[in-house]
Amino acid sequence: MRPFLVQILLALIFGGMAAAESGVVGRYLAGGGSDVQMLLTIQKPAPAAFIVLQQIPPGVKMTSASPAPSGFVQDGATVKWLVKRPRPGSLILSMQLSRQVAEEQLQGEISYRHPENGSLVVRKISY
Amino acid sequence: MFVPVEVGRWPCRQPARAKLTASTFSFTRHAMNSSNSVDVNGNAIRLIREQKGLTQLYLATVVGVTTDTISRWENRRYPSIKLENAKKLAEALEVSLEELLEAAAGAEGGGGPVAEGADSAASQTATETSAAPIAAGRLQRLLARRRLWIGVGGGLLAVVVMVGFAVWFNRSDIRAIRTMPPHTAPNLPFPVLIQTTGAVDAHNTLLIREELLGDCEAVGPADEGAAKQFGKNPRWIGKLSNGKAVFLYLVEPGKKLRPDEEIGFSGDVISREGQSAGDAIGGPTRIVIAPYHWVDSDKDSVISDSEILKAYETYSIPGENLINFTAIEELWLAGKYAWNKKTQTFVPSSLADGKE
Repeated sequence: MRPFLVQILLALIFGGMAAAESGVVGRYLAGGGSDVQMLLTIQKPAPAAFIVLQQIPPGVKMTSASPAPSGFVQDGATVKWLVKRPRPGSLILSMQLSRQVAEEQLQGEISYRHPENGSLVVRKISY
Repeated sequence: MFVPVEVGRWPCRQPARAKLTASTFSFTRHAMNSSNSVDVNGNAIRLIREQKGLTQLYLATVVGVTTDTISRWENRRYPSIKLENAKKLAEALEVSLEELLEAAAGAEGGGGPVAEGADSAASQTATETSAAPIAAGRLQRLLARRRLWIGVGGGLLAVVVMVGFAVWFNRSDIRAIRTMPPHTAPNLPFPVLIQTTGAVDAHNTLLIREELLGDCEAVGPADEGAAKQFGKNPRWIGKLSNGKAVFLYLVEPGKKLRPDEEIGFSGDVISREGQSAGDAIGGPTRIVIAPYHWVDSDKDSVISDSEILKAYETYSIPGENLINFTAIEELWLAGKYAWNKKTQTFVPSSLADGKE
């Protein structure tokens, strides 16, 4: 229960820090391991939709994820979420992997169309 | 209001004018009154002076009056002036005195007896005797024509003003733009979005009228979220909310449509009571049939991240499930897709692995 509260607290803290930036930003909360969480912060105005793309290290499989991803590509090496009608604020994506991975093995990015000028923005998810 | 017309612009010929001689002093009884003054035609004075390029100052100097007096004579229709001044005026204008008097007499007498000069002129040769009456007649015609032109011009101006006022009064601040993809597949429904904007405080009811041209049918949302066929003339009634209103519908192309054939669109918006002609809906008016998904804007058989994001951003409306985005996501995740002619559907070129 306590780790869950810590996660919420961190989400609020990092969410507030990220709120200073524009668009959608992402950050891994847990540094490595088999349970990976990423915090997504959606600025106002929120884009109509955004895509989260997560690379899965070779030899590792995703056993579950919340929310469920839209699908897998490249034989499961990449997981994609299409988040529709996001509300401004914070969103946590969590996934369970078949084995532990190092923090530096986690690679992901967020894509969205800028709400004001319509340009495609691609941002890496930071640690 | 009338349009001012310059006399010099009339298409007229210069009348032959006789020099002032003693024999020409046989003017009408109507024109001469008991106080030894005559009624001259102010318009004729001005017309002849302008035709000869003379100034009011010149006439005033020759006659021995002020320019104000000349101006007063010209501006009055039939001013009464001294006979002596009338003679000098005719001299200055190099015309017979009758020419300055006939018009006035004729006008006063209407169709009645004409001047003595005119009667006597009838017995003379045509070239000598008819000069003054002909000039006066032409002057009359010119004046009549002038009045006609002023009347016509004024009438036209009044019509223009009324039409302009009617257009201004019936103008609408409502603007409607149609958005739709540039292409779609033969059997693939595609979305059409009509975005209407207007004054934030506008509460008028809008009537959107669309007309589809070609082998197709409109499908729109109905009660309880079900789709409903609207044929080729879909119509909606709605109101602006915060100055905006959005109408979304699908169009199902006919199965007989072949690549490169088109579906046309035309439509308008009625936003005012009694408005007979609606304001045309702007934006694209045609879509081409092609073996590519309407989301695939660059026709590379790949629905990219950017394309699916744009499709969702443009055509998704909260609470509306008209568009099957699940099928689009399947093609997006597949990476590539292909058009199956037999089934008239798109198929992913490689099925997604482990899709949950």
